Amino acid sequence: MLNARNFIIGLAFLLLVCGVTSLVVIVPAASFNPEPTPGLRPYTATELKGRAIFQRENCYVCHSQFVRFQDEGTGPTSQAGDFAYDRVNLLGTLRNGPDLSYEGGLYPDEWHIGHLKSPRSYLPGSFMPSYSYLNDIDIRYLVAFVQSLGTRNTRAWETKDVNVPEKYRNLKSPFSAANAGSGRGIYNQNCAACHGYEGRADVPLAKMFYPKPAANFHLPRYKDFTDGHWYNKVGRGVPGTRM
Amino acid sequence: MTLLDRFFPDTPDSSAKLWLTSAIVWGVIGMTFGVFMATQFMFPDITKGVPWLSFSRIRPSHVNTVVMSWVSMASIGACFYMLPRLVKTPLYSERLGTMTGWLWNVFATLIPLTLLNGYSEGREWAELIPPMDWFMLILLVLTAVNVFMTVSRRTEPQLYVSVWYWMGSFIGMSMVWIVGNRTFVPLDGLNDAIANWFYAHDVLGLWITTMGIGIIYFLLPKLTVGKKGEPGNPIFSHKLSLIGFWGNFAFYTGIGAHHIIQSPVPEWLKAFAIGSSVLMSIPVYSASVNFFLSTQGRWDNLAWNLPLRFMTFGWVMYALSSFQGSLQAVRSINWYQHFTGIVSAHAHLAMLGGFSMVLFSAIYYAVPRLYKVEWYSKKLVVVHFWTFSVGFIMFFITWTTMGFIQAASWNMGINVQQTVPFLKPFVMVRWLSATVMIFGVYIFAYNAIQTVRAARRQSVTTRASSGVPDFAPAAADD
Repeated sequence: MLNARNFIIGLAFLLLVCGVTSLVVIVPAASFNPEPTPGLRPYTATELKGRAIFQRENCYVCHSQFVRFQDEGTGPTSQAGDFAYDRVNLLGTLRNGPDLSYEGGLYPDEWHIGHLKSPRSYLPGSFMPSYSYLNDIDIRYLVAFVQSLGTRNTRAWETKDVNVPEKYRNLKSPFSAANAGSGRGIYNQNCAACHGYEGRADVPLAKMFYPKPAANFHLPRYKDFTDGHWYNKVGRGVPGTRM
Repeated sequence: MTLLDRFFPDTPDSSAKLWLTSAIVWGVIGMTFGVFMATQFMFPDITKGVPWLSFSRIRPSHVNTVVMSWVSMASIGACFYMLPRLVKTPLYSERLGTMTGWLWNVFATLIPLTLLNGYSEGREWAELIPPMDWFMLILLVLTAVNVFMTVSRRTEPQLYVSVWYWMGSFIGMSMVWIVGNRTFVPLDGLNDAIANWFYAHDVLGLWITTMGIGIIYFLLPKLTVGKKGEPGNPIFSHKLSLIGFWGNFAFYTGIGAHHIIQSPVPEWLKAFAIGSSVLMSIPVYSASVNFFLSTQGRWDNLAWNLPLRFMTFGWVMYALSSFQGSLQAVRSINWYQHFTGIVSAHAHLAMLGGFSMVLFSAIYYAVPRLYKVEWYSKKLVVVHFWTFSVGFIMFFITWTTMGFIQAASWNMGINVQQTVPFLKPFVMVRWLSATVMIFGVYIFAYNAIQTVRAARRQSVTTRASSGVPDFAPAAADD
């Protein structure tokens, strides 16, 4: 019963659905081709193998890979060019685990390998599944990929403190290292109870707290933080912890 | 009786029977995956060292089994039962229907087999590998041929609104499948994400929702039949139902990008997605108001008509989830609650509380009429309703609360890892409520098995005598 009226309705329906689909998928595909962010390099062969394992194990269901303006402390907000070399998108829509956009360099490779095999030995209370069934080579590839996240992009490190509030961001300490002794007294009075007298968190309180206080201020990454970062941490505290 | 007749019977309604019974099996399997994941949140090391039971491999199997096996098979089965009765013509080819049904079962078996063994494309919701994408496309075309040929041979010239919805769904789903799986349209980077979320949301919008609403429109006049056989309510307004139809296809198609509002995709696309999401309230409310007013005068049926009870629960949840969806897409709300459990709870509100309930209702309505037997136990149907609905409400509230805790913590600057300990009690309640729900589903499956077995026993004794097909187009409106 294909009369003229039904034909017109059918055609209108097809035009409607196909039209809106082309508008939201085909038009962006044709018009939206952002340039790679300056300083971004493509993945190496090893990282791509790791990325394939990341996809195979569907890690993106819990770990998103884009940072929003309000995700304080994760890293700079993602730009369109950051995804220029991604063949399959891993944006994700749920954060059962932390965002991985800037995960690279936060922990050493050995930490990642151990954490993948036995997550709760490294982060008590975590509900990440154990990936002990991956063979050693696969785990190496996967860690290489995770370490590449954020570190492929030099911008990430130049503007590390972009999420520190304006109030603190550009503050500079007026004192030099010669004044460290005065700071020591303040540290002993206010900080040492949790962080330890040598900054190694070797005091009873540190063992009791969860989340744990920063465990070792001797790690090199603490030396990379700007003054603004420290003003922010000390001035505002770390929400969700006793700090 | 040849082998062909045994497995691909040509008798009236044989495809509806096959599709609906297969759907029950896949529903049980898909929901069991879900409960298993809820258990893994409680005991993360419960399957340590077993690759194919890893949480991250079960999650895509859960999503794809529920969407492509349980909901799709049940919707198509219900459509194969209802469509001939609406257009007063037998199905175009029962044999094609049963063959597609068995092929769809093969496809449904391959979903967990491929995903659990690590054959995943790595695109959320569209994980299935290219051969599976081709397979599905062929199945969709075969099913659509059956539906469209039936409609074109119809003896009832007036098309009821359900038929509009079903025909639209098959066109919409084929298009969503082709555009949404990168097997057919390869795209990179953020464009891949745009197409990915177009797929993930429109498989709900242009397939599950529209199939489900068609089923509700069919069931409403049937289930509002009075206790003493008073005629059921007609649809309150056909105009409203058509506003719903055109609105759904106009606005649902473009809303996929509201999943990535805060990612760096083009601003106009986000604006379009948000606008479409808010405008979705037009078809949703026109449909809900229509359902509500069509039930007017027969609300007492809820006391004794169990399929109506399931269906009403389903469409109320659908209306609520759509209301929530329109709100969540707005930027000022989305920035707060995106990435949290609120989104997952919302998805379950539509799929589990909404359309699964509608499909339970369709199965409870259709199976006795297909097999010519009463349900094995009415009490078990009641148990199914209460365990499932109470379990679901607990489940939804718990998961939403988890989402609010996550949102509040993250926006105070507490990072994701530190938020995990706060969620532990809720993870436990979610697991318990999921267990309550799955208990109801197992009861449902047991009840269905016993009913079909009783029908088998009956038909063995009467098969010799009945030479006439029990399908008569004139008496279709039973």
